[in-house]
Parts: sequence; C-alpha cells; structure tokens
Amino acid sequence: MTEALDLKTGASPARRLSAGIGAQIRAFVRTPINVVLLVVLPLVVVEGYGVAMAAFPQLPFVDTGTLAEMGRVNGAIYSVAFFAGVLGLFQVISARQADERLRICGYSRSELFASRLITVALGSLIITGAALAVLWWNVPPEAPLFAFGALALAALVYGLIGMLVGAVLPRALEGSLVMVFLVDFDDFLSSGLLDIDSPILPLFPLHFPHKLFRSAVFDGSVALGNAAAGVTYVLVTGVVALLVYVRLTGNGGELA
Amino acid sequence: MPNIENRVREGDANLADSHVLEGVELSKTYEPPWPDWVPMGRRVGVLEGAEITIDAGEIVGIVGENGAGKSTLMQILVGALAPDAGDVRRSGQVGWCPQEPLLYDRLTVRETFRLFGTAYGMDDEAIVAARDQYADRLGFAEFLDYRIDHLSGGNRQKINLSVALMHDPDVLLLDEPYTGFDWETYLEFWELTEELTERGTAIAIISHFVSERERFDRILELADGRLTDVTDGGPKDAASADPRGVSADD
Amino acid sequence: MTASGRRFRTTFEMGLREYARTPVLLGLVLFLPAYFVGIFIHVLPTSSLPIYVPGSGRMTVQTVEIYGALLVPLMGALIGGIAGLFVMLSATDADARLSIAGVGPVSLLAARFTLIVVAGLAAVGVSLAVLATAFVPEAIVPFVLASLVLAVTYGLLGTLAGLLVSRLAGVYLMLIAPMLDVFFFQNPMIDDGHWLSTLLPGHFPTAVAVDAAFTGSVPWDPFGPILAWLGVAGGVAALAYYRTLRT
Repeated sequence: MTEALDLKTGASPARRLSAGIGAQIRAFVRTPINVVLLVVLPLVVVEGYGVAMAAFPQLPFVDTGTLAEMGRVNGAIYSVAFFAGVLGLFQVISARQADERLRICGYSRSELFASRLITVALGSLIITGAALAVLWWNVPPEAPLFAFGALALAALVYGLIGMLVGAVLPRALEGSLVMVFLVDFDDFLSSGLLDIDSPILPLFPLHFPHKLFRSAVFDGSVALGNAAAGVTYVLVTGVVALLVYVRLTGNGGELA
Repeated sequence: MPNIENRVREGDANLADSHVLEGVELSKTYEPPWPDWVPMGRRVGVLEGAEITIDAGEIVGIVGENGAGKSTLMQILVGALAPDAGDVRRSGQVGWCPQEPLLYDRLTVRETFRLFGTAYGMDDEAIVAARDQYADRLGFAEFLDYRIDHLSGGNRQKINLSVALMHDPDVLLLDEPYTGFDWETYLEFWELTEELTERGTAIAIISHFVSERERFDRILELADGRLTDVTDGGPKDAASADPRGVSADD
Repeated sequence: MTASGRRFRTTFEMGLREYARTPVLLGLVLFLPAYFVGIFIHVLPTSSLPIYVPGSGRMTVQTVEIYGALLVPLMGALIGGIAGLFVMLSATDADARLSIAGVGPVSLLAARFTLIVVAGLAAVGVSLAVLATAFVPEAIVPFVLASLVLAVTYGLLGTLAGLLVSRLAGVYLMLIAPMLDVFFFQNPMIDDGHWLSTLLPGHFPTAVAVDAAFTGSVPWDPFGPILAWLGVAGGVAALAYYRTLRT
C-alpha cells in the first residue's frame, strides 16, 4: 500500500520525512510563546536555582563547586529535561490523530516516529545549547563538549519519556501531571544535593546525566561507565518508545 | 398564545417594540496580541458596521461565504463575544445553538439537560418535560444515559439544538443547526421551527447555503463585514446542495 | 435554596462528576503524591540536618522529617497548579455557553474554584497519609491548612497561567514555580534567605507548615499575608476567568 502510494506521488521516504519535520518546526516557531520559552526558561531556571542555592549552608557531602554553582548546574539539567519532556509529550498528543491519517496517506509508522523523534531531538539540542550558554555566564565548564553531551543526554532521555507518556496517556492534563512529578522528583533525587545511597537511584533517568554533567563541568572528566550507562538508558527508552508508538499508530491510536 | 406575550421581559428599553433582537453598527476585528512588525498572525477585519434586526415570530436566514464572519456575528448577538464597536439589544430569553456543540464531554445527556436547565432557571419538572419532549421529537430517547463524547456527531448535534430550545426562548440563534442530521430529523427540525415561529419565537439560522428559500421570511447575506437583504435576489452561491452538510452523492 | 445557590450546586456537582469519570486522572491525583512521598521516605538518608524553624529558631531534625514536611505543601502546590491550569483551559469552551444560559460568573467561578480546593485537599490528604508512616507533624490542623492554602494559591495562579500563556507554557510554569519556590527558596535549611523568597506565594504557607511540623503551637500572624496572597491571586484569576466568558 505504502509503495503503491509512493509510485503514485513520487515522494521518497526522505522527502516525506523532511516535509514532516519541516511542518512541525514551522508549527513550533509560529507559536511565539514557544520561542520566548526557549530563551527565557533556561535563564530563569539556571539563575533561579543558583540564587536559591547560594543561601544554603555548605553541605558536608557536596565536594564539588560552591552551592551556587551546584544550583546552576542542577538548574541547567532540570531546564533541559523538563523542556524536552513536555515537548515530547505534546508532540505525541497533538499529532496522534493526524499521524493516524498521515499513515493512511502513505507515511510508514517508522517514518512518523522518526519525524516526531527528530523534532524532539532538535528541540532538545537547541535547549541544551541555550542552557549551556546561560550556565557558562557564571560557571564556565571545564570540558564544554562533554558538558554539552551530558546535558543533551538528559534532554534526549526526557524527550523520549515525554513521547512515551504521550503515547500511553494521550491526554494533556494526565500526561502533564505525570511529567511534572517525574521531572521534579527525578531531578531532585539525582541532583547530588542529598546524601542518598539507595540502589534504586540508578534507575532514575537523570542519575547518569547528572553525574556526567557535574564531572564535565567541575573536573573536565568523563567516567566511561557513567557515559555508557547514560547512552544505554537513552537507547533502551528510545526502543520502548518506538515499539509503543508503532503499536499505537497501527492500531487506530489505541494501545491495546 | 405567543410565549413572548406571556413572559416578563428583562429586555432592553431601547429596543423597538416589534424587534426582539437588534444589532447596531457592529464591528469586530481579530488582532494578534503583538505589534504589526512581528511576522506572526495577522489582523483580520470581520464585521464593519453590520446591522440586523429580528422580529418576533420571524425566521431569518444568514448566509455568507466561508470565513465571512457569520459565526462571529452570532457570538456577538448572543453575548459570547464583545464587539469592538456597536450595540446589541435583546428582549426576553435567548437560545443559542453554537456551531461547535460546547457541551461537557463526560456528562451524560440526562445530566447535560439538568445542568443547562438549572442554568436557565427551570425547575426539575420542567427540565424533565423539556428533555423528554425533545428526546421524543428528535429521536434520542435511547441515548439519555450516554456520555456526550460517546454519541455520534448527528446525535450530539440533536443535544446541542435541544439545549438551545429547552427553555422555550424568545429568540433562537442557530449556527448551522442541522449539520449531520438524517432526513427525518431535518424535516422534524423545520416542523419545530414552524411551531415556534407561530408561537412568536424569533429565529435566526446561519447556514452557508440556503436551499429552501421558502422556509425563511428574510435572507441576509454577510459579505465585506456588512449584512445585505437578499430575500428577493439570491445569494451568489445558493446552489442546490444539501443543507445538512452532506454532498448530493451521499 | 436560592436560584444562584441551585446553579452553583448543580455546576459544582457536574464538575465533580466529570472528573469522577476520568479514572486515570483521579488515580494520578491520588497515586502520584503517594508514590513520590513513599520514594522520598524510602531513599532519604537517616542523617540529621540543622534547620531554621520560624517559631523556635535553630533545630536539628531528621532529613526525612524536614523533606517530608516540605513535600506535603509541595504536592498540594503541584497538583493545585496543574488543576487550576486545566480548569482555565477548558473554561473558555463550554463554560461560556453555560454562562450565557444563566449561570452567573460568581456561581461558575465558585464551582470551578471549589474543584481546585478538592484537588488540593486530595493531594495534601494523600501525601500526609503516606508521610505519617515516617513522620507526623506536631500540629496537624495548621499544617494541613497551610498546605491547602498553598495548593489553592497555586491553583489560582495556574488558572491565570491558563489564560495568559499557552497550554505548553502553562505546564512549564506550573512545573518549575512550585518546586523552585517551596523546595529551594523556602527551604528551612536556609538561615537568611534571598529577599526574593519573601515575595513568593510559598513563603508564608511554607513557614507555617514548617512551624506546625516541628512545634506544637503556631502563631496566627502569617495567615494575614497568606490570605492577602490568596485574595489577590483569587481576584486576578476571577477577573481573568470572567473575561474569558465574555470575550
């Protein structure tokens, strides 16, 4: 069916993919509040965390940077995670029914997933750049490229989680509630601001990105084990999101 | 006996005796919330000094091309939207059947009648009587315990219309009221409007096509922000298309 | 019962019924706070931290106690904020029709705001119930009151966000604001907070909640500014809501 339509329309998968991504980027940019958020959110969150944490007494288990610096570092991770997460959620929710129609028009399920994913990934990379730039203002990272990579990992993992939540729970209110809780608590528990030693912590999506980002910013080092674990986490989340998404677009938008 | 004569009016003292609804010099422009140099969104002028009067017992058709501003006009007449300039004078109670049903998705049909009936100030007995009357006439009695979001488009439209009619209003403003109706319901709708106008109810119906001109007392065309009486002429596109929103092939 | 009282009752009842028919949402409002308070209790270290309690000065308390005491108002603020946001987002549609049908703006507002109170109450109640397995605040009534007031205040701010910004931006706001406010700016580990912290909606409710958690008696004076915040947020939100019904 898809191939027949290909012959009829003469559209290659690459052309359809770029058309899909282009449409979504235009829709995003044409909502001015989104563009404003992209600039303002990292600034407010990174500086807000920095200012708030500066007033804390020095914590004995925090041995890297001052608390104000730690606050800004956490703010950067938090801002990219929630921006990408909520973006992923709304991408899937708003596109759900249209995607089903696009599939009938000739897009394959994997093309649809890829176009959503690439849009979320692009958004993740842009917010990562913005957050790193804001952080650099007061806390120049020791290893900027590694810092960018770790931050992008945090954004990507939450972008995918957002897509997953949107696919399983395709209602804005319910999905938002889940994202709010996930991001807030994951960020807080993974932040290194509490002296937590629990075996369940590595299961939190931001656990490895937080560790990687802190070491890249403060020491300029990267622990390969943490990097591998972080990348694996993203890949596994990506596969799960793909499977769920494909199942949904092939089943009239229903999971079961 | 016409219901209008029986009811205590909460109407506008400036309203001429014969008119139950008057729109004077109505203007409306949709503007983006940012200055013109921002390349997002654009200014759209919809109404520019539109004038309308509707009398008791009259049925008026309002036609116009897509995007001409028919729904905006109706929202202004009903009070859901404020005009930039101009004045609306109403007399008695208004019933509004919007183009989009604007109902609560997760309430049942029965609960929807209770909610809107209470809003209109009806007592429980009157609500049940009105509900059962329209359920019987428009044919949705078996769906009373269905949620609104579980109804078909046509049945949802029946509820939308019945909610506008249930309090026996003096003025009825209906925006594409028969979209999705089957033929029997469509005929029943016109029978209902005839009964209502005989009792003195004023009715304005928005439709992109008016194919059965004889059913209307007057037809107004909205174009370039103004209304023109085309009762004796005929709107440019008064084709023989089916007014229920289905194509001739269906 | 007066006509407006009947309209309020029916509108509120139907609002509740609507929410009761979204089992996933109900489940989330109850499950999420319970789950995350449970996780916090489970993973927080058994160390102690020095904190500043408005009524008693410096104290040393268990980590789980202080974060537990902060979690309850935070849960209320998060759930209240999101509930308020979505009440406003859905208001522009059917509520406008209901308003034209005859439900006065005051009855409609009261019915919608009461829903936010119910959501806040559920979040605070569930969080407190789970927290009670590890820590019970000294003065429960002012603790719950302060947490609930914060939930409603954020609920009202959520309704404002729903009007002023898009759905996406509103979710962002309601995600960051309570967390930054309650967990960071109002954290009792801070002796001398940033001047900004006193201007935030979480300042007085969190101070009362911390006081109530660790001392038996709580002064009533902070309730003045708390109610002032609530009144201003309510007034502005009411005005904004009213405008959506008639524009």
